[in-house]
Amino acid sequence: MNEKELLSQLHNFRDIKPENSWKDSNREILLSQISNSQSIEKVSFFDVLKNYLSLDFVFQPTGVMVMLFFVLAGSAAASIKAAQDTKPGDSLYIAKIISEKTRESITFDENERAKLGVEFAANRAKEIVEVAQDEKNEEKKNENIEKLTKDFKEEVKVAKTRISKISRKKINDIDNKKNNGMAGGNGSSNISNGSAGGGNEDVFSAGSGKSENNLKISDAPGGYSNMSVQAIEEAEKLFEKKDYGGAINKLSEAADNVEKGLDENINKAEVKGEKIGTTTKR
Amino acid sequence: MLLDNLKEKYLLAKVKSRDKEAFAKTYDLYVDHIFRFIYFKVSNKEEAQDLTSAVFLKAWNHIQTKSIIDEKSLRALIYKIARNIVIDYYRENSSKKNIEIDSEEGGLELIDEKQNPLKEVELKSDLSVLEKNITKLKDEYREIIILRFIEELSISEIANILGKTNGNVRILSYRALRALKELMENQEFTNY
Repeated sequence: MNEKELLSQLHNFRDIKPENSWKDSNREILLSQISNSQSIEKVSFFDVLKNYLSLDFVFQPTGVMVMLFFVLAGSAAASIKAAQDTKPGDSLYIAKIISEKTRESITFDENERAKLGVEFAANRAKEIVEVAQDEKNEEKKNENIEKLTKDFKEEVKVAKTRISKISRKKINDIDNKKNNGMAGGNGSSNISNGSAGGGNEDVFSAGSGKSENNLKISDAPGGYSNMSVQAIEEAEKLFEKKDYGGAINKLSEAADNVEKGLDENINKAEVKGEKIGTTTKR
Repeated sequence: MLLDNLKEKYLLAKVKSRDKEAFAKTYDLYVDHIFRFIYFKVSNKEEAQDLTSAVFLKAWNHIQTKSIIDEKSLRALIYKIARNIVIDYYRENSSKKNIEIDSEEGGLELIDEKQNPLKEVELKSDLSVLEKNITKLKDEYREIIILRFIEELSISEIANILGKTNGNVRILSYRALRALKELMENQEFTNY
């Protein structure tokens, strides 16, 4: 006997059933036995759901609040995602702007805020391209482009201010450390490259961004910030020439430089963590 | 499947609310299955009937008194109760541990009017051999054979009833079937 035959025969056992007469009489007996305790309560949909989910907590106030929070958060996240590719005139565009403002207001790191500014400026440029392509109504198109141009300029201005602020702060920090090092050092020691995040190279960063020691602009603290500002200025020029694609590319470059500046800070902070308080001799 | 589960949950909730009609429906839905399950475990029609009756009464009381939140399905709950009742039955009647199945006269009639008489006799004979061999299996294997290959319950349902993992149930199913097959092959060899 092979397995298939065996399974088929086993399946035949499903025909084994108690006699109908016994089933009926037994049912009557059972019903009479339980009837003493009979008192029907109404079963609601939620009773079934409660059993089905097997989760007591969802019917507790805390559970309801938690569920409500997740539903709202989920809806908000879905709306924001859906709003990412919208342009002025779309119903979800307002959600996009609110999302941008929210991101900005909950970001406290200056570098991140600067990066957001650049990103939002690029968004405005993208929206202009989309409006120019998709909007049929000329009057509405011009109106939207005018508004977006204004917003773009505003975002660019804010981003530049933030980046300059970061650059200035870096230079001040370096100067302070340098002064502290000279005042508190043993006189014979030089603050060398890599020590406390400062050193000879720092001097060059404060100026034009060029290095007399053949250091690349980006090697100098604040160098990436300068590069970001330059990229933004170029983006502005391209924007004025209505080369929105070029402006977006330049803004993307600026955002990358802000990012590199952020990494640079982290690296310097790590070096600082290792060497702070010690002076390194050449 | 989801709809069946929901219907079952609805029935369970109705029984919980002491609905006599819902209980009658539950009885109609599962009485054959439970009787068969018990019959293969005790191998006696009358005992199986008594125990089946006890299962439903106990199920009613259990649903009324215990929280049923953790129960994944009504069917699994009733099988669990049936299983415990059979265990109690064997505990009380330990001498009956190796009961032979009902004699030919007292055995169960297979209800199938479509079969022709000759085929019916052949089938009955084959099934009788198979039935005897099922009772020769150890309890664990017999239980799996009944639940998996006769009642055709899902692996997870069986795991829930037996309190085992899905993986254990899969392995047990394979071993039980192989053991039964070996018994059947030995039987054939002896007959020749």
